[in-house]
Amino acid sequence: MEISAIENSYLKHGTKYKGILGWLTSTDHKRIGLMYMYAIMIFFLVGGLLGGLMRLELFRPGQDYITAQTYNAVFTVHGVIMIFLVVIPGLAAVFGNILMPIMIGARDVAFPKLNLFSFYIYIFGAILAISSQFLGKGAPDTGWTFYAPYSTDTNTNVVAAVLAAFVLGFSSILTGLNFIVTIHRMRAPGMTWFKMPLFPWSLYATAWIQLLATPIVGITLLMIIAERWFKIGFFDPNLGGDPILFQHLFWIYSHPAVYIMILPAMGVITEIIPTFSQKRVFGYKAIVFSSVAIAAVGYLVWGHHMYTAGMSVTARWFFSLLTFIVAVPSAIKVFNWISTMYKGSINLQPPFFFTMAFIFNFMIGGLTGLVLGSLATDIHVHDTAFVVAHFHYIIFGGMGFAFLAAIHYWFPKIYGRMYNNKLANTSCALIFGGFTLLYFPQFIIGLQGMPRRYFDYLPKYEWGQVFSFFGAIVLGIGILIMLINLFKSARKGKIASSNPWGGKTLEWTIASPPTVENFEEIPIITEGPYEYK
Amino acid sequence: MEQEHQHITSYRTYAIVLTALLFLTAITVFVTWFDLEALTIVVAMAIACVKVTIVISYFMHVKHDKLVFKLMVGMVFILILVIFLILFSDYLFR
Ligand code: HEM
Ligand SMILES: [Cu+2]
Repeated sequence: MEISAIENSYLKHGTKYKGILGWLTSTDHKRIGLMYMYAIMIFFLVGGLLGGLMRLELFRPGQDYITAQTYNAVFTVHGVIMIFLVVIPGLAAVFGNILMPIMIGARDVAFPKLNLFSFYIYIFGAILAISSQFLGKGAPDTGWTFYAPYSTDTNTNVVAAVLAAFVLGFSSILTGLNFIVTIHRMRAPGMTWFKMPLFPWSLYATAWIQLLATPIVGITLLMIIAERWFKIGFFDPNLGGDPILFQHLFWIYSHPAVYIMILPAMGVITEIIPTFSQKRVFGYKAIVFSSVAIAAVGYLVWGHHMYTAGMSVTARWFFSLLTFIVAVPSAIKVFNWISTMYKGSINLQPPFFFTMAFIFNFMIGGLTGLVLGSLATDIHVHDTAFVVAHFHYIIFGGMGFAFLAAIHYWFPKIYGRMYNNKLANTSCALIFGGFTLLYFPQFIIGLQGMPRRYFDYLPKYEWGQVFSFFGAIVLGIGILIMLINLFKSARKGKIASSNPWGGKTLEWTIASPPTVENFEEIPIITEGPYEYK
Repeated sequence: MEQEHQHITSYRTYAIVLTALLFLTAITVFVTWFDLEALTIVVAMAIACVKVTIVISYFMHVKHDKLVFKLMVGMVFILILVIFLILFSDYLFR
């Protein structure tokens, strides 16, 4: 009988086409989400291999395997792939698509065709990004930040990479738009704003950032192309431009973009903790308002990336103040998570372990963010490995671990099968251990002065780079074990029940995996999303 | 389902809006004959803002839309304004 749940699910039924074509033409939000997931996984592996290549080069001081120019290209491509192809779409496009409509009691997103269209824009942008590496006069070497005026006069293939980021922006904007309309218009009857689960809430806050911030980077990237082709002097001082203007415009988008990455991650964590504590979430409204506050104040702190760029002292002072303010709502969330667990009946399962790792990493990432946010200390550590460690702790240790927590949490819902618990726990331990070994030493050598984006270094930093190298190997093994476990279980795992964790939100009330329509009958909501007894 | 009310704008209104936009475009061109120095941007932006407001209100129907949409559009304007203000805390004090 349970096997038939899989036979009747969206995995087997879709459009009039069969097989792969049935997936590629499907407007089912669950299928689109899964397609994003497979694509993102591939790009993650490519980006990860490039990261491994850098670690290999940095294993010993001096030039070993690749030239300085290749090294510059490698960190640029690594950054572009990881930021624009993996973590910015990441949680919203994958789990937002698969689960948000179900969690609010809808049959699909508001504009299913637009949703599929966003996916194809994403693929088109991805092809552009990858081909920028092979076409033209060499791979771009500007770093993912494309700082002018170097980006407007280097001979490498910057235009293709910039165009790729521009195109990917459209995919992001359309997904955001789709989610805003879906959440406004398609909530099940009785689901008021404050009865909506918190993952959809975090997606709603994120969607507004996607919608409003992304166009700014779009225009900025076009300005680079205009300056390259037509010599219009926006940024290059030789043409009468201002290079700091580029940094302003770039970070006006890219700081809010870091919240595009982390807000949905916080949403995932907020779903997992009540389920595995069997307890009502602590401070529902505080979590909602902190998401909105992060989205709003996050727009106003971009200058903390530019303390050493030559801004006015007034602006630097002001940005430092605002940066400290934005840390407050993030901390509120951490307190809420801890208080939710307090006196709950904790169920130690793989998603919960990933969640604990998230909180640990996010604390380190967030607190070092404050070290960077305060004007005086940042002057010392700006553009060192300390920054590299900070944002990897937030992005990989935070968003990445939340992604892994999410996949282990919703895996039985998505595939109708269960993975091997022991292997999942082992891979969690390996990934966490490897991650710590890889990035923690970077804090220390960063404080000692190891610059970022350098392919060579003084011997005194060698110990840290060696630790990082072995950390990367452990991390890689952990990821490999996890992938094997998940892929095998998706096809052959034990059949899962519709609610294996005892969750309370709507996705746990329907079959695993869901049918094409999600709900036979749209539920009527009478109580909040986390009413555990 | 709730009732979606329709609003039909007359041709006359559209004609007036179009004329106003063309007139403002002419002014934009006209002011380039003078060198306003630091004020050049301010004037150009001010005219552009008026045009944008007209387009959004009439052509994009926000004038007759529900309050929630007006609030959303208003929110975006406030955001841009705040971003500009903060940006100029750099340029004005360098
Ligand atoms: C507690 C809140 C946070 C604070 C106060 C903070 C502060 C900072 C500061 C000041 C820098 C600039 C360092 C420098 O270049 O000198 C920075 C860099 C960075 N942060 Fe954060 N951060 C926070 C959270 C986050 C989050 C949540 C993310 C992403 C999800 C993130 C991603 C990044 C990235 C990508 C960079 C590097 C940009 C670059 O220079 O290439 N940060 N952070
Ligand atoms: Cu930032």
